[in-house]
Amino acid sequence: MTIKLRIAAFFTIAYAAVVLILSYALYEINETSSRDSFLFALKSAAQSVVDRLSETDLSTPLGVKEDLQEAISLFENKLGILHVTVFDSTGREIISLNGLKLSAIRNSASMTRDIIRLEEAGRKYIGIRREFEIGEKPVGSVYVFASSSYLEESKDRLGNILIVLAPISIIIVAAGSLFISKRALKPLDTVAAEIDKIEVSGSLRPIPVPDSNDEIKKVSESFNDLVDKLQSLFQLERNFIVDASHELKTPLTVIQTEIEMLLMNPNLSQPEIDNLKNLQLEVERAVKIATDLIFFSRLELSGGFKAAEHVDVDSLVAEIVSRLTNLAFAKGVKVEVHLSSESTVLADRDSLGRALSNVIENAIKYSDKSKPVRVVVVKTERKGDYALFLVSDNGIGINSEDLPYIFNRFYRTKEARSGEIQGSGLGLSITKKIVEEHKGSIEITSRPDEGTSVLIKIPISSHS
Amino acid sequence: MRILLVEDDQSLQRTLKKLFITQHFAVDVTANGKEAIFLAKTNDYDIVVLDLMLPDISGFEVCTELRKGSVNVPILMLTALDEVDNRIRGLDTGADDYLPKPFHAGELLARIRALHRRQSEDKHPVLSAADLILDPVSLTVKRGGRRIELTSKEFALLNYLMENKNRILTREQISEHVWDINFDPRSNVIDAFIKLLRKKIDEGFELKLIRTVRGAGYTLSEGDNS
Repeated sequence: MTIKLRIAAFFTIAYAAVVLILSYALYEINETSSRDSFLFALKSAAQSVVDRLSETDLSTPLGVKEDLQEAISLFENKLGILHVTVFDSTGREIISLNGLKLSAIRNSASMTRDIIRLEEAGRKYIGIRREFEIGEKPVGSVYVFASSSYLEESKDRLGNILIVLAPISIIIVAAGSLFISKRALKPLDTVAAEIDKIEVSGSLRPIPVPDSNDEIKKVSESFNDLVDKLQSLFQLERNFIVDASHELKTPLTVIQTEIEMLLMNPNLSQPEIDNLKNLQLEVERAVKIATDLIFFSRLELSGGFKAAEHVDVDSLVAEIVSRLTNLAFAKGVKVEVHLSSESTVLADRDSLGRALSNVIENAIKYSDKSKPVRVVVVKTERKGDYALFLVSDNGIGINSEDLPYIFNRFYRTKEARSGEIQGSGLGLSITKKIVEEHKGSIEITSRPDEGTSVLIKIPISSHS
Repeated sequence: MRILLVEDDQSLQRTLKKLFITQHFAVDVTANGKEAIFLAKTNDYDIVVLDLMLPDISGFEVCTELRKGSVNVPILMLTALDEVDNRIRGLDTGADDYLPKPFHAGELLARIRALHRRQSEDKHPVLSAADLILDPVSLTVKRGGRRIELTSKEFALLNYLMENKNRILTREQISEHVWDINFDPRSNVIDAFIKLLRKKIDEGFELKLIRTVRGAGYTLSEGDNS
C-alpha cells in the first residue's frame, strides 16, 4: 500500500471511529433523556389523576370519567392517548378511560411495580402505577399507560439520521484525506521520478534540489549526499582495480621474461617447448585481462570520452579489418567486407575502433573448424540517422542459454573456456560499454553450429 | 655493451639482469633514482634502462637530471603506466624510447640493440670485419664461414671491438663497456681476455684482426698488417 493510501486510510478509520463513538453516545443520551421526560410526563399525568380522584366522591362515579379525561388531556398532547384504569382497594376495577385489558395481568408480579411495560395487541405500552389514599388510608391504585411508540419514534428518527449521515461524512473524509495526502506527497513523486531517471540512464548523478525549504528538499539533499558517497566509493573501487592491475603487470613481465629466457635454450625437447609456449599463452591471457580491466575501469571512471571527433565509419572499419587479416589468415577464415554506410559518427576513434575490432576478432576466433569454408562478413550500411555495422559469421555460434549473459564481465561460454581460444572475458562488455557511450546499441543473434550476427548502431553526426 | 638497469622491483630486476647476461651485456643495477643519476654520471654506459616508478624520485626526474648534466646515454623507459600522456612526457624529458609493461623480452632486447645501433655510424645489425661476422641477435660469431664458440665475456669484448672497428680503445674504455662496476681496473684481466680472443679469432688466419697499440690499448682493424 502506498503511503498516500495509508495516510488516507488512517485518517478515515480514525474519523469513522470518532463519528461512531459520538453517534452512539448521542443516541444513548437522547434515549435516556427522552425516556426520562416521557416518564416524568407520565408520572405527572398519574399524579393529576390521583389528585382528581382524592377530591372526588367515589361512591358516585358519575361525572368522574369526564373529570379525569379533562385532567389528562393536557398530557395527551405530549404523550398521545393515555389509558387510565383505577382499581379500588379490593382490586375491583372501578374506572377505565380508554382502558387496556389489564385483568389478565392484574395480579401478576409486574403489576405491583411502579413502572410497567406491557404489550397488548402488538403495541408496546409503558405505564405508571400510583396508589391513592383518602386521609391516611390507601383506597386503591391508578394505572396510567401510554403507547411507547412516541419514544421509539424519536429514537428511530435520530438513528435514521445518524445511519445516513455517518457513512456520508466518512466517505467525504476518505476522499478528502486521499486528496490531501496525494497533494502533500506529490513533490515526493517528482523526486522518485528524478531517481528513476538515474536508474534508466545508469549513470550516477545528483538530482535537482527544489528551492522549497521543506522535507522534500531535505530528502533530495540526503539523496545527493548518498550519490556523492556512492560515486566516491565507485571511484575508489575502480581506482583499486586499475592499481591492482598495474601491480600485476610487473610480476607478469617477470614471468614472461623468464619463459622467454627458457625458450632461448636451443637444447629443449619439443614437449618442453610446448609446455613453455602454453605457459606463455596463459601469461598473455593474464596480461590481456589486466590491460582490459584497466581499460574498462578507466572507461567507467571517465564516464565519457575526452576527445570526440568526426570518424568516417567505412574507413575505420577498413583499417580494423586490415589489422585483423593476419589473425584471419592464421585461422583460415575468409573476411568479406562490404562498406556502404558513407557516414561519419561523432566518436572517440580509438575506443570505437576497439569496440568494432573486438566483434570482428570474436567472429574470426570462434570460427567452426569442422566447416570447409569459414567466412566472416563485415558490412556497414546507413539506415535513417544511424550507421549500421554488421558482422556475421558461420562459426560455432552461441547457445541460447549463454546468449543473455555474453555481455557480462568475465562471462565466457563453455566453448570459450575450453582453452583453445584466448580471451579475457571482457571484450564484449567493453564493446557494449563503448557503444553505449556513443549513444548506440548492440544486438547479437546466434544459433549454435550455424553462426552469429552482431549488429551495432551508432547515430550519425553528419553525412558525406 | 654495458647497461645500467634502474628498477625497484627486486624480482624484475633479477630477471632482467639475467636476461641481459644471456646477451653478454655487462649490467649494473640500482633500485634508486639518485643512485642511478650518480652511476650514470660517473660511468660510461651504452644504455640506461629506467623504470618510471622509483621509491625516491621518479624516472622522469632521473631523465631530466641526466640530460641537464649533459649525460647523453640512450635511455629506455620501462613502466606499467601505459597512457599516451606518460609516453609523451617520458620522451619529452629526454628518453629515447619507451616500453610499457608487460613487454616481451625479445622486444626489449631488440629495442636495446636498435638504440645502441643508433649511436654508431654503421646501422647494419650484423657487425663484420673482413671475413669475421658477429650477429648480436643470434649471438653467433663466424670467421671465414666457420662458427666460433666464444664465452660470454669474449663475445662482449669482441662485440665492443667490432662496434669500434679501426678505432684504438684504451683498457679503461674496454673495462667501462664490457665489464660491470665490480671490475678491478688494476688487474690484467683485459689482456688475458684479448689473448684468449686472439687465439680463437686470429689463429690460423693470415689477417690478424686484433692488434695491440703499444702504450695505448687495442684495436680491431681490417686494414693491412703494418
